[in-house]
Amino acid sequence: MGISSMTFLCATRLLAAWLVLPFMYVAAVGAGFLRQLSGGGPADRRGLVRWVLPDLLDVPETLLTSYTA
Amino acid sequence: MPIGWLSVPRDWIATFGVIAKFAARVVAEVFTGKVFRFFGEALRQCGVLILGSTMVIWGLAFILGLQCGIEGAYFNRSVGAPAYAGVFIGMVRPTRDHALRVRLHDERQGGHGPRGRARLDADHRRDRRPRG
Repeated sequence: MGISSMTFLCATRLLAAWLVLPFMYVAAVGAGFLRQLSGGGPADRRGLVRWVLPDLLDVPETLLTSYTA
Repeated sequence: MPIGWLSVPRDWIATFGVIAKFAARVVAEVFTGKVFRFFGEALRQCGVLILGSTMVIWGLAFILGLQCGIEGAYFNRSVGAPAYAGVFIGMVRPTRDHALRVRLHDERQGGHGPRGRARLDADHRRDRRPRG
């Protein structure tokens, strides 16, 4: 009966990482998006805008594939 | 004990087995829901991750993306194809269905050119050369 302390620590930390990382990912992508919206301007010398994610649907899909792949 | 091909890596394989067994046990604790009895501790670990690791992970991702961009740009310029720098960005940037898909324009896909028939006949305009 009982659980080893190392397994306890690793399992809770793994669960914590799975809980936290999606929000961290969305926050990072959102920061890039806001940077583009806030008049960041073109990213290269041709004046082309290079989005972090080209489409809004990329956000949930890449989030899902990061868990399943 | 006779010396064979497995003499040297035997310990490595054994250690790998121990690591894999432990990892499998940890993942099993999560998937069977046993760890949810300690959900408070998991939330505490969430706080530790947010406060202690977020900036490190973001910083590493930023440096990795920056490095890929810089090296891609300079390498492609050195071989005479600077417009292909986006290919390197595509390696580290997550997208749907195609890693190298790039949205280049602020507006709709296809840029600022004319829609429809006029766009299909773009090669007839005098500033374009015939293609195909």
